[in-house]
Amino acid sequence: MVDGIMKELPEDLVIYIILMLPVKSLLRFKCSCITFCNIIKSSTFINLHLNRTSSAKDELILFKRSFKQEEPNLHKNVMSFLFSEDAFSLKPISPDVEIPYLTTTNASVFHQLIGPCNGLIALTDSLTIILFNPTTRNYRLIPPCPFGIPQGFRRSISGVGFGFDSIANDYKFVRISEVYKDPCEKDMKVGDGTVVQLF
Amino acid sequence: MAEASSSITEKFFLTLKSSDGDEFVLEESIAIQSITIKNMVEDGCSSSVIPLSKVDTETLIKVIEYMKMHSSTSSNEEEIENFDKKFVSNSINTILNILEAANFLDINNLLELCAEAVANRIKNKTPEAVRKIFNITSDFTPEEEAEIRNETPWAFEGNLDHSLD
Repeated sequence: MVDGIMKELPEDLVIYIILMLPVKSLLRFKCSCITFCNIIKSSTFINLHLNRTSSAKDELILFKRSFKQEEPNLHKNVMSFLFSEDAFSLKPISPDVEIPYLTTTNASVFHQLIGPCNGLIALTDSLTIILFNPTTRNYRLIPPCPFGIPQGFRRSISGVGFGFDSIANDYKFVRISEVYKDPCEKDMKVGDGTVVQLF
Repeated sequence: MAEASSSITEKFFLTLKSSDGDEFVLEESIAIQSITIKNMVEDGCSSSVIPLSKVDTETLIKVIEYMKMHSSTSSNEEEIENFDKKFVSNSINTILNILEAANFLDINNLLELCAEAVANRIKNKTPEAVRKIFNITSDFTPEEEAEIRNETPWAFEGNLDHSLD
């Protein structure tokens, strides 16, 4: 076999072929040259690939562990990606990822898992929200609430959700916060307004 | 094969001509799995020989084999599945030729089958092997490449062999 067997193929056929590849192979392909990297990173390609791989059998177990750090008194959170060939053994499918945004002062903070939505999941302890792609192992911190609260008021976040907005072609987060008057105030009248935030 | 057209249930036949000049007579109902041929038939261009200048004889034989298997009502699912399995074990060059032919003839199932077959052969290759296969040179700067290697070292592990057969 000679080198460059594919060189005569038109670009649309090359794209058609790489659309058939699983994500792990695509991540490898991204490292071969800038052209492939740009094709694979493009939102057009991502959408085509997403619609294609609906029958994929990729299953994995996402495993979160908290480790106590020496100094300061913080617990870091590490994600492991496991799969099992049989009922008794779990093997890592890709290297662990530490998510610094999830570092906490408590040993066991419950991170609620939201999703999946198009293969993405969100992890949240209500205050911090991380959008996470277990397949590419990329994650992103969702910006905190941009609205200030008036002095003497408190806010508690009572719900977080996310989904895909097909019109905006982007993901949106909804955060429902309750704003109420600080109970320490003499006036105990509770004014609660619910704020819905979209990102 | 042409005498079959005089059978009781009337069948139409088309003549396909490969780039090597060989002619193949094929039942119309089988041939129109190719959208390109179907359009030609609908436009009334099918009375004479249909020249397929982009498809050589060897490839056309394979494509006709595929279309016959996938159209005949007698072949059951299991038969088709076995046929497809055997079909994709052809040499990579043959598959690529069929892939291009399927693209030209607009036979979606065949295009998908071949693209998947190629993808299966390249999915475990390292970036270096991928470059050799696609005849490309890395256009990342050494710094960029070092950064990628640092970020995703596992992406460089895999099958180094760039042969696809």
